[in-house]
Amino acid sequence: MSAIEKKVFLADLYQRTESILNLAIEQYQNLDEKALTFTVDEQSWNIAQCLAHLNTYGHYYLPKMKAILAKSNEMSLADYVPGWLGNYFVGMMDVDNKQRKKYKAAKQHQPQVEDVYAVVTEFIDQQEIFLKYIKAFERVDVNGIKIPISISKLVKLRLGDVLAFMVMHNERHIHQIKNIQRAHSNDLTERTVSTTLAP
Amino acid sequence: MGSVELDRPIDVLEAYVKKHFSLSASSLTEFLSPWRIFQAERKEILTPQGEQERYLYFVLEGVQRVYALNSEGKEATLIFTYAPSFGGVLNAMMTEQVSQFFYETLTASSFLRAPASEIKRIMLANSEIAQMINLGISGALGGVLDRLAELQLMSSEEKFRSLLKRSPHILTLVPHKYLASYLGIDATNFSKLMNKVKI
Repeated sequence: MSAIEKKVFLADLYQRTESILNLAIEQYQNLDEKALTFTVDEQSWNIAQCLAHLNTYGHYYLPKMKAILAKSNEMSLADYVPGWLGNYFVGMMDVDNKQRKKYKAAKQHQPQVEDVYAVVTEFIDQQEIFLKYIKAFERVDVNGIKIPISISKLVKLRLGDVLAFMVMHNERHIHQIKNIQRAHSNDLTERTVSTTLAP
Repeated sequence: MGSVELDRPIDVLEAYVKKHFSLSASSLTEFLSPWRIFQAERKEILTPQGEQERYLYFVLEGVQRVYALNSEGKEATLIFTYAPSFGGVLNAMMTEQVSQFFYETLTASSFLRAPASEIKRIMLANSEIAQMINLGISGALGGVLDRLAELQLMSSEEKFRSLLKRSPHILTLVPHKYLASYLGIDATNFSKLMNKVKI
């Protein structure tokens, strides 16, 4: 796997996370309960569930990142070298991947929504924290440090791969949210039209 | 006659000073001399609690806040700053005492900023500028008193409406938790209020 200049790699992740956070601030936190709980069908998640699912990853990975940063790590500016396993997980999440399939979320990543607004608030909190950590990792060895993945403590990924996966995974579900919003908008239009045309 | 396009940041500051204060041409030139462009990312602490306020800021882009932090880690957002306005912890700047509060960006931000020492030197040398700064600080004090009165006399809904009147776009610019803190409302009630008032 080719090495990527670390500064470039992290700047890219930072910008993409910043875009997601901006979307959440401009749009999601201003949606009402109807919009947050609208579903296309019974099998599909609504916006609140998508965000709750993403929050489960933040619950697991952000404390691990915090622990890494709390240790006095040897400074490293070495290029990021994607691991093959990391690339595999990232590929699964790639929104542009034409082979993209639906995956069933692992049990600990199934969304549990009690308060839709609290879910959005938490998502925003997590992205703010994640941005700070991405910046802080500029000085940390993203190749040498490994984190066990959330669904199996036996499998460890390089920190750089975890960061790439987190962002790509977020983007996958943001894409899903855009589709939900579009479907909701179409649904509202159809209702308005049918009400207008009703005899 | 068409409007003048303000390309340079210093032009924006000049226009602001001319609009709100009256200075002779030579005093204006002197006042504009120490300002430099400064940029910061989201959630960057510009002035930490316990340190001196080293700058007077003029906000060009983005939203920032002055906040208090108690010994239990609880935050209170006291003031928002956004373009075009002056920023920083003004009382600390003027008194040269350590700041009791934090000044932090809530979004990526750009400013002009002038060293507090330079502002002080100019004030000592030029009484017209000193008078202008005094007027500005008095205006800021008036704003803080208005805020105190609002916090003590208005209902949550009235405070919310007052905020929206002052800053109509703020709901889409900053995470709502900061607005809730500013209004002295808890996050759950803020979400309910938002949906009630916006309809």
